[in-house]
Amino acid sequence: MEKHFFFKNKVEKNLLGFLCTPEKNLLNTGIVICQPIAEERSRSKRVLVNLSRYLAYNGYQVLLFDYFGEGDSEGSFEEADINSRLSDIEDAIKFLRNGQNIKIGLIGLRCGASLAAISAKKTIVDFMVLLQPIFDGQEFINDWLKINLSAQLVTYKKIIANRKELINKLLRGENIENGGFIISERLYNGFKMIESSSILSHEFAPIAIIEINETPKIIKSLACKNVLENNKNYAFVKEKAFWNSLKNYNPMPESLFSSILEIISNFNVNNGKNC
Amino acid sequence: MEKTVEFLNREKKKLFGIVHIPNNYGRDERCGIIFMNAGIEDRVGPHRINIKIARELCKKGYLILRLDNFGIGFSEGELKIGTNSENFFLVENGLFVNDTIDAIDYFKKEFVLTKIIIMGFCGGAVTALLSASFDKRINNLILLEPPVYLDSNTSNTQINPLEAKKALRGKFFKLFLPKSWIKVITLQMDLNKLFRYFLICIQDSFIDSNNKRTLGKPINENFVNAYLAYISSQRKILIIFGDDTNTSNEFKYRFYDKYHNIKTRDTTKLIRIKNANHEFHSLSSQQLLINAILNWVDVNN
Repeated sequence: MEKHFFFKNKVEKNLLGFLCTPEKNLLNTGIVICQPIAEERSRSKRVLVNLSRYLAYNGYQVLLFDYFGEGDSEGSFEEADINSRLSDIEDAIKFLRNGQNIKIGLIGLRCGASLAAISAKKTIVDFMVLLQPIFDGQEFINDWLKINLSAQLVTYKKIIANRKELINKLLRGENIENGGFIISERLYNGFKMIESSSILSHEFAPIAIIEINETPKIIKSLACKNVLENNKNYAFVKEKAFWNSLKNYNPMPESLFSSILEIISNFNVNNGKNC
Repeated sequence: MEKTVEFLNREKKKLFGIVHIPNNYGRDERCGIIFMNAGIEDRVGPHRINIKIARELCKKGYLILRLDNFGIGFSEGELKIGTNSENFFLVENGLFVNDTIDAIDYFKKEFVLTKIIIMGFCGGAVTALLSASFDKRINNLILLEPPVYLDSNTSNTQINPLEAKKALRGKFFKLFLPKSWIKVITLQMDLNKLFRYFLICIQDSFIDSNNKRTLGKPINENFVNAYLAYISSQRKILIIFGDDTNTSNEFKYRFYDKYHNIKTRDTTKLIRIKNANHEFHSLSSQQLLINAILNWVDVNN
């Protein structure tokens, strides 16, 4: 069964929610899906809708929601920042829990994965599955600003403000237009707090990382060694980066979906402990 | 107020939408505006452009439905797995026309409407035009960056000389960057593609202006026929482009100059927005876009 609705966050703003509930064999576990941001949200939307339906078919209650300032939720993109998104995740968890005595897991994609991991420090969750998380917020922003640089080349036939100058603008409190979105100083500063140690620490809840790529890369990173030494909390899925893809269309990456289901099932069997 | 809605299409698939209801709703003339999906993006649109437009129109008292066609957003059904181009091709050939008609049935009945405007962006604009060509319940059309050509997933697609010149211009400025030369040396740059663009530009300089119109991706005959059918019914149409986009240039050189005449002058309004790209990324272009739509809807409603 599916329902869509608006629910209020803690500052009384409307957030759009999409709730998938199993019709039978309901398990005692709810899942909140934390979406990526900006255009990555648009490109991955259908995959996450289908993931919600797939997990519901397999017995899980799933809530997919739009952060304040994103999607159909209230507010503009520039009014929101990392802290508002973290707060929205807390509110989504509370909404799904709704007084039920159920386990709650988070599944996050890209920035949503990083946010899920950070939010678990404050909000009790039973497990997290992080899909291609962003380990370095500064690097993400640097890459994202390529859109602004390309736009300058097209409009002015040259770069007027390079990346360093754009970042200085942000630090002075000026907003930057980037591919139709507005990056504020608050958002930029929030991204700077996303780094691997804040994501990989699993003293708050067990985590699993799924790398979605053409070839494995995360496992070679030194930052991941402490979590990934036994490879038990890590899975690699060979898939194109659907959150970024302008060419390919696959809204049902089956290998990814079955990997996620297997990991969540293992978390459930082991009562939320590390596999 | 914004609320979620759903209804069944003729294939019994649930279609999802968001309705924007103005505070002072209850206007005598019950006019509703339906926003189509941009290509295969959901009802939000690129960088939430549909939401920005809808919220401004709603503030002025207009009732809006932002629709997800089948296979998009929360709606049921699935699109073809493969490439985006394959799906764009299907959209440009009327994939979502039936859903549009079904959405009109729902919207008119649910809100007791007497007038319907359809707005579409890119592929959504094509859907809007194709639907309006035979459904006379659509009173007016707003088309944003409509492509007159057909997408293709084959590599044999002809490249429009204007596109080739633009691409070469962009590459020319990068020649001064050391990392561009590193890309050339390490074979990361597609030199074949650059050479092809160069040849097209040379070829173009020898072709007379009449024949230039036949170069590029094949023209969408469905678009041409739908436009002529729509115009012949004397209904109004607003078409908005960025001022130097590929879509805009294709439209002007391969379609508008040929089909715009004295009969279409009173019904068709064409606006080009300065410094706007295909998706109206800049804040200033978004504001100009919204103002243009608001003004036209106010005058023609």
